[in-house]
Amino acid sequence: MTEVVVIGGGHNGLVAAAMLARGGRNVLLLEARDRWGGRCAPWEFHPGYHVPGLLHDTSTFDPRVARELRLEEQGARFCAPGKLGITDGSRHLVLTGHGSGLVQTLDAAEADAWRAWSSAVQLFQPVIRQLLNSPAPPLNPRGGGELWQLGLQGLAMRRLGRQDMLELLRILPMSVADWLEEFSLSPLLAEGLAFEAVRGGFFGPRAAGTAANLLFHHCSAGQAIAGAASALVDALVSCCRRNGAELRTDARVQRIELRNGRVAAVALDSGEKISTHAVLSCGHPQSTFLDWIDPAELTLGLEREIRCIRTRGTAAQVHLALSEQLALPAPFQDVEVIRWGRGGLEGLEQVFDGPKYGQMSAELHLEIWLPSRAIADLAPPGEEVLSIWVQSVPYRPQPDWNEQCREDVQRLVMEKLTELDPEVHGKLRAARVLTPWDLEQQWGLVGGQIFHVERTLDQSLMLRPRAALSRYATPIAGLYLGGSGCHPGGGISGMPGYLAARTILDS
Amino acid sequence: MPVPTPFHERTAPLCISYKWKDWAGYYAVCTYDYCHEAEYFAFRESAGLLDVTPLYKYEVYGPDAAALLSRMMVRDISKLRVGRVAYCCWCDDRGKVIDDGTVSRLDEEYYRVTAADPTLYWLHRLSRGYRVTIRDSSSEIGALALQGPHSRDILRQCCDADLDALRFFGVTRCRLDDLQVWISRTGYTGDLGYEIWVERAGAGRLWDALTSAGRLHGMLPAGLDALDMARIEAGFILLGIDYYSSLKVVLESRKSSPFEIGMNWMVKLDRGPFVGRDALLREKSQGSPWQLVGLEADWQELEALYDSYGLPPSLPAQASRDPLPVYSGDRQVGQATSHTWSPLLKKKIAIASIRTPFSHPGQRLQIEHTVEFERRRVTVTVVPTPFFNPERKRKP
Amino acid sequence: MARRYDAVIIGGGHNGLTCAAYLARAGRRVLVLERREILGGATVTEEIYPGFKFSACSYVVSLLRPWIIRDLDLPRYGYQVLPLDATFTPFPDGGYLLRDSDPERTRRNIARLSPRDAEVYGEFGRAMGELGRLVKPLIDLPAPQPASLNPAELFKLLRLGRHFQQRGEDWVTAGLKMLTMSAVDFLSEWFESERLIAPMAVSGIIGTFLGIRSPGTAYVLLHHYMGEIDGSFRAWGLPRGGTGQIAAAIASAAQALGAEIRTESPVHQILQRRGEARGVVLEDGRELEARVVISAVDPHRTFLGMVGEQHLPEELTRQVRRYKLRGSSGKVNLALAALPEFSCLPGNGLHLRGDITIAPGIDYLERAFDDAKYGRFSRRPFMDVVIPSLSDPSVAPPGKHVMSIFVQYAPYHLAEGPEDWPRQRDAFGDAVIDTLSEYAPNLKELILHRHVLTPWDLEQTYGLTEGNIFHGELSLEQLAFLRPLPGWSRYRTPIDRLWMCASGTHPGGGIMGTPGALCAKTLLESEAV
Repeated sequence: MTEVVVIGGGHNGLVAAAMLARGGRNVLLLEARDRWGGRCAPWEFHPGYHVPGLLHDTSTFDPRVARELRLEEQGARFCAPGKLGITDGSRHLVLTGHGSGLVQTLDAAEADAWRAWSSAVQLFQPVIRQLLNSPAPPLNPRGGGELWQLGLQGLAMRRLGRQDMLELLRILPMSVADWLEEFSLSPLLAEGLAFEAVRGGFFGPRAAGTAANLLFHHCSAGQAIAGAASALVDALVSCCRRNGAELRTDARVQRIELRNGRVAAVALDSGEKISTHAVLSCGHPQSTFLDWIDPAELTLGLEREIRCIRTRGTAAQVHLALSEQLALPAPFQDVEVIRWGRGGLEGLEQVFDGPKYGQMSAELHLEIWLPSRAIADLAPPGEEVLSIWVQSVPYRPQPDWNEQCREDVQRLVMEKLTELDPEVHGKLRAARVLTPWDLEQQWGLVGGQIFHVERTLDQSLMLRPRAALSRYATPIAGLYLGGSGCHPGGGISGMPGYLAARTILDS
Repeated sequence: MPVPTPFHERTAPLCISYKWKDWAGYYAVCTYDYCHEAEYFAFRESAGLLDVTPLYKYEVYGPDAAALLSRMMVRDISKLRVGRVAYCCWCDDRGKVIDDGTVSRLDEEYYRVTAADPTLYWLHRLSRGYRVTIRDSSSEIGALALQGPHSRDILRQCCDADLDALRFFGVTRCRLDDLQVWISRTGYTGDLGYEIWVERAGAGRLWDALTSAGRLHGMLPAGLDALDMARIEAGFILLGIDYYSSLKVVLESRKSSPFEIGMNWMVKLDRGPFVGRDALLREKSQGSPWQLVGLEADWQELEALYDSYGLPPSLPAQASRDPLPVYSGDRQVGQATSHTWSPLLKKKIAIASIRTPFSHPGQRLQIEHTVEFERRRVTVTVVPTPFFNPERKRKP
Repeated sequence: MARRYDAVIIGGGHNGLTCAAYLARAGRRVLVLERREILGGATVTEEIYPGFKFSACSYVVSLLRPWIIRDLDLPRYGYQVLPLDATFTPFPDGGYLLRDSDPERTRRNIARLSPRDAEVYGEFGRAMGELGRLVKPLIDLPAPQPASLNPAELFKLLRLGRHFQQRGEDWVTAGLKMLTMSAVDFLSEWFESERLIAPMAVSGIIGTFLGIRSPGTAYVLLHHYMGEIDGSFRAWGLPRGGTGQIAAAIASAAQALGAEIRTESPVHQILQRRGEARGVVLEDGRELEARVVISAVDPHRTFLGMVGEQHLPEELTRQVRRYKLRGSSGKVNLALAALPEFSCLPGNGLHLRGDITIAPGIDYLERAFDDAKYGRFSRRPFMDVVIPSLSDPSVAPPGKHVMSIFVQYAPYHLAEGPEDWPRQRDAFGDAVIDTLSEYAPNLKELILHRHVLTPWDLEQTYGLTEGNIFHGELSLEQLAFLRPLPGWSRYRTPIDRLWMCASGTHPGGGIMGTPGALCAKTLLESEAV
C-alpha cells in the first residue's frame, strides 16, 4: 500500500515527494497535467518557442531545501540572479538580483536612500528567515514542540532589542507605500520595489500589510537557479526518482475518500482507486476540500473558512515569439527582467483600481522577462521569447469577455513595446495571452491567483490559508496541505512542500 | 412589530380577549375568550382549531434532497418513505441542537421542512455540492392545526382524503372544499390531530370550511395558552423555553445535545457523516451531563404548604415559562423550564432539565414554589413523559 | 512667575477635561488651557446661526466609557444621551434599508434584500458582541507592552493572553481576522447582499484614510460596534444639547472637583529645561509653571509645534514626522426650514430620527475612496446624516431643524495642496448637497444656512492637524503599543514631565474619554504629581 499520496506535481509537490521518499516513505506523486512542474513547467507556447515556466523568479528557492535534497548532484546550478531594470519609459534604473543587490545608475542621494532601506531590511533578515523557514507560529500551542518553537521565535524577536522589535511590529501591518515613503527613495525606484509587494494581488501599494510582502521577499531572496524554474523541476524530478518515489502524470484526482473521518483512498478520474492512509495535497486548498472531499465530511465551520479564502487573480501573462531580439535602451542591455511602471507609487496604485470593478485597469504595469538571452534553445538561434507579466487584469469566468481581454492585452502590450523598440511589430511571430481565467482553466489555479491564496495580512503566517489549516495537518486525519496556499506561501520557495513533508515525517 | 397571518381576517374578530403575542413575527392569539380553559378542553374533548402559520416552512427538492436532509438531521431521513413525516432535530458541528421540526416527504424528490426558527441560511450552508433547490415557503403557506378527538370526523365531512388510511405521522394531498391542501396527521397537543397546509390565497376558505364542519362537533378556535398546557401534558419541548438554539446563545452551558433533551431515540449514529456526528459519538460514549425529564408535584405537600398560610391551594391557571430551580437537598440539580397545572390530570406537572445522576424515574427532588412572596419548596418526583398519552393519538 | 500647578493641561477637549477631572479628583492642582473661547475642542456645540445649535464636528456618541460617566457623575452636570438606534440607507433606485431596534422589523427589512442575510444578521450581532467583549480590555486598559522586559508588564501580557485563550481558539482567530481584514471581506464572510454590506462596512472607514476594501478596516468597524450606552453594546446616541454638552458636563465635573479652566488662553510653547518640561508659555507671553505638562492636542502640534523641532532629538523628530494624520473627512451643517422628504420613504417617520447613511453600494464607496487616493474630494461621497433637532428640539427654533452631515472623503492633501481647500470649499459643499438631493429632492429648497467644514477648516479652527478627527490614523501600525510612537504608548513622552492624554494616544479616537482618564490614572500611579 502507498504510504503517502502527494497530489500536485508543482515545485512544492516535487519537493514534498522527494523529502518523503528520502525519509523512507513509500510515496506516489500525482500530477493532473501531462508534465511536471505546474507553473514551473516549461511550455512551448508556439512551435519552436518555449518559456521555462510561468514563474521566473527562482531566487527565493530555499538553499536549505536544495542542500537537503542535494539538488546540485541532480544538475541544479545556482547563480547570481539576473539584473532588474526599472523604467517608466523615460528614466532607467538597474538593480542587480531582483532588487536585492546593489544599485547602478543611481545618483548619490538615491543610492544613500536605497542603502538606508536595504539595511533596514538586512536588520530583520534573521528573524524573518526564521519565521519563513519554520511552520507558522502556533496560535494555541499544544505540547512541548510547539511551545519550544514559539519560544525560539519569541527569542529571535527579543534579540532584535526593544526598539527594533517595535519597529518590526510597526512595519508588518503597514502599506508598502507608507513604508517606502519614509525613506525618500525616488518615485521610480519606490514603484519598482513596491511592485514585488503587490504582484498578483488584489490591492495596490496603499493597502495595509503589503509592506510585509516586500520585507518577506527581500529577506528570502538569494541565489537564483540557472536555467530558471524548469531546470529546478528537472532536478527535483530526478531527485524524486532517485529516492524511489513513484511519479505519475496525467493522473487527475477525482475524490479523496474517507472512512470514519480518516483518509482511506484517492480516486482518479480514470476510475482507479489508490488506497492510502495519508494524502499531502499541494493543490489549492479550495480544490482539496471543496472539490475532492465529500461535503458531508466537512464541518460547517471549516467549510465556511475554506470557502471564504480569497483567491482573486489580477495578472495576465503574455508570451511573445520574436524573430529578432527586442531592441533595448543602453542601460538595459544586460538586464533579465524589466519592470515598466508609471513612475511612482500613485501610478502603481492606479494599476490596481480596475479589478475592484471587474475591469481591466486603464493603466497597466508590465514586467518583461527576457529568458532566451540567458538560456539556450528556448527559441531558434537569433530569435527571442518574452514572457510578460501584465498587472492588472481581473478574473472573470466569461469566455467572451476573456476573448476580448486577450486581444486588448496583446494590443496594449505591443503598443508599450513599440515605445521601447519601434520595430517590434515586424518582429512578432506569435503571441499567447493568458488571462487569470485561462490560468485557472489550464493550470488549475483557482481564481487565476498565482500564489494560490492572496497574500494579505489575514491570509499570512498563522492565518494562511486559514487558522485551522496553517500547520499543514488538517482537521481531517491523514490529510495534509503543502502548496503555495500554505505558510510561507509565495513564489518558488519549496518551503510549504518541505515543511509539510517534515510534518508528516515527524508524525 | 408583528404582521398578520393569512387567517387574521377570520381570527381577529373572534379574539374578544385582545390577547395577542408575537410568534415568529406574526400576530398570534393567546386566547380567544377571556379564559383559555374552554379552548384547552376543546383539544381534549372535541376539537380545537389553531393557526400555526408562523411555523417556518421550507421546500427542498432535487435528486440530493434526501442526502442533504440526512446530513442535516440527526435522524436518517433517507429511510423516510413518501407520504410520511418525521419529527427530528438538527445540530451544529459540536453536536448541540439548533432547532427541532418536521420533515415531510411529499414526493420522491420533494420534502418540506418545518422549523421554529428561520432555517434558510442553515439549509443553504449545508447545500453546497448537493443537487437541490431550497425555497422558503413560510409566507406562501398558511397552516391550521385541527386537534382533538373529533378532528377526524370534522375533516371527513369536508375533505376527500382517505383519513382511515392516514396513519400517525402520515401526510397526504387532498381536496378540501375545492382547495388543494396537504393534510398531515401531526400536531403539538399529544392528541388525535391533523395539520392542514394551504396556499395563502385559500386561507380564508379553509378556515370557513373547517369552522362550518366543526360547528356540530363543538370545535373551538384555540389560542397559544391552551396549546401550551396541552403540549406540556404531551411532554413536548419548546425551543427558546426548554432548550436554546446553539446558534443563538453564547454560553456553551446553555446549549444542549439531543441526548439532553429527550431526543436520544431519533439519533442514528451508525450511518454516514451528518452534522454533529463526531461530537454525538463522543457524548454517547462519555455520557451526557443533563437529562430532560417530567416532574410531578406531591399534591399533599402542596396542599399542606398552602394550608400553613391559611390558604387553599391556588395555582395559576396558565402554563408558566418562568424557570424554577430544582433541588436535591441543598444542591440545585436543575431547573423546571415549563410547568403547568393539568386540568385533566389534576396535577402540577413540569418539564425539567436535571443533572443526569438525579434524573432516573422515581427520584424525589424539590421544586421551588412561591407562596405569599416566600420561596418554599415542594417535593416532586421524576416521571417519564408524556404525562398524557391517549390511545386515540396513534390509533388508525 | 505665576502660581505653581501640579499639572497644566493644554487643550480643553473632552480628553483634556477628563484628564483634569481625574487629577482634580485625586486632589491635584490642575489648570486646563483652551485656545478658543469655548471648551470642547472637537466635542463642541456652536450656535453658528442664531437659534441653530450645531454639534459642529463630532455629532454622535457611543464610545464614551460608562465607567467615566459613573466616576465623574456626569448626568448630574447635564450629560444626557438620546438613543439613536435606527439606520436608514436609501438606494438610488428607490429602495431602502431600515434597521432599527425592533429585531423582527429589521429582519423583515433585510429579508427584502436577502432572506439568508436576514437570518445571519442576528448571529452576526451576537458574534460582534462577543468580539467586543474580547477586545474590551484592550480599550479600557493601558496598551500592553510586548517589547518590555519588566516582569509586571510581562505578567499583564500573560494575563491578557489568558483572557484570549479562555475564549477559545475560534475567538482568537476571529479577533486576528478582525484586526487584519477589510470591512468588506469580513462582512462578506457573513452576508451576501451588497446593500447590507455597504452600509455596515462604512463604520469601518469613518475618520480613516482607508476604503471599505482596505485591509485593517474590519477592526475600526469593531471600534464603532463597541459603543456602549446604558451598558448595552452597540447602541449610538445623540447627546442632548449637542456634543458640546458632553464637554460642558465634564468641565463642570472637573471644576466641581477643583480644577481650574481658562479659555482664550492659547499656549505658545512648552517650556523645557534640561530635557524636562517645566511649564508653558502662553501666546500673551505669560509663563505658567507646573510639575507636569499634559498635552491634549495631537502629537504633531505637541512636538513639532509646542516643543519645537530644535528641542527634539533627531530620531524623535523623524518618528513624529512619519506619524500619519491625513484627514479624510469633512462636515456640512445645515439649518433647515423643515424636514427633508426622502423619495424612497416619504414622511417623517423613524427613519429620520436615526442615522441616515448614504452608502448605496460597495463600488460606490470604493470609487469615493479612489477620488481621495488621488487628491480629490469624493464627487459622490459617503455621508452619515443625523437630524438631532428631531429628538432634541432645544437645538433649533420651533419647527426648524439642524442637519449634520459627516462627509467622506475629503482628503486634506488635495492634489493642488491643502491650501486650495478654501477655493474648493463651495464645490465640496455643492457635491454633498447635490448627492443628498438625489435621495431627498426637496432638500435644496429647505436650506436656510449652510456651513461647510473642510479638513483645512478643521485644522485652522479646531487645531486638528491635517484635519484628522482622531489625532492620527487608526491604522494598525499606529494602534495600541505603537500609538502614538513605538515605545511611548503609556501617555509619557520622550521628554520628561511632558505627558499626552488625547486621541493620539491609546486607545485612540472617538468620544471615549479613555485616553484622558487612563493618562490621569497612569500619572497618579507614577507619582509624578
